[in-house]
Amino acid sequence: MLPRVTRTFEFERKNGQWQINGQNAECSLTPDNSVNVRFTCQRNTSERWILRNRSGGWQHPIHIHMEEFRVLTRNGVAPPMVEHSRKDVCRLGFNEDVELFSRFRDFRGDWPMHCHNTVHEDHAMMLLWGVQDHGDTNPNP
Amino acid sequence: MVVINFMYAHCQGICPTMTANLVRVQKILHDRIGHDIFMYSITLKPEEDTPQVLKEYADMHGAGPGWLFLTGKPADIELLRRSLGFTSIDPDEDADKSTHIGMLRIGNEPMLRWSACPSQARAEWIATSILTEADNPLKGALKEDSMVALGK
Repeated sequence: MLPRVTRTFEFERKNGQWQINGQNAECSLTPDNSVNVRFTCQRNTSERWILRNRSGGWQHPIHIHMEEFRVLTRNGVAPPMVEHSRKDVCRLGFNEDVELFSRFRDFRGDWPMHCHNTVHEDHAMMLLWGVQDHGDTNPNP
Repeated sequence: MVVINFMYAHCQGICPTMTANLVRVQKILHDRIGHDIFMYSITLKPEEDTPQVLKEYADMHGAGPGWLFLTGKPADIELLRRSLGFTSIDPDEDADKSTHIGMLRIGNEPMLRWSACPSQARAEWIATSILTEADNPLKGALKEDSMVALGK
């Protein structure tokens, strides 16, 4: 099943704020009381996500809720044996790039992707993503 | 209750959006700012930012009463910067004022509660963070139904 879309996420630190693709986490509700979902995946499709650590001297274990993934490449080459499994945390070492493959299946809804360093997590290094019947194709959400 | 940030008038980086965002926060909390919640912007370049320069900067952005822009002796400002946590571990990044910390330090001093919020978060969220520390710092520690389950 080929990926329907490839999305790239740059994990950054800007003036002390943790950001993903240049944006802070949207913690508050929108004016019409809905949550801010950064992008939407289409049910029963798969996607390729590229996670890039561009935060200058920090490492981040990135946790993706809802669906587990496979690691395709780590810094352009096949991942080590220990990553040949279904995983839900992707370790981003200094300046690392990792490509992931994931399928979106059962439930429609919204879930977070966040750094699992709990201090970064508490300072909103996260975003919300959704699964619905129709998804978008934003490559840099 | 205080909300503190560090800036300088000729910052080309985060300061314009940070200050504009704080103006939005001041509008949302218009009935509290200057009464029990006070905003302070402290300059990182006291040698450039005289009180007159800071006043022009504040007026240009539309900062209202209850929000002070402050300068002082460089050594005092550096002491405040360090003790309030506006530093970077990397010494090169810490020495470069153009990459200064763009967080807000939120403090409820009588309750000894200090918090932080990204200055580029949405203004509604910053206001919520400020009000949580100002009004309900202990709310949410235990929900009422949990208290019932504990037999209290």
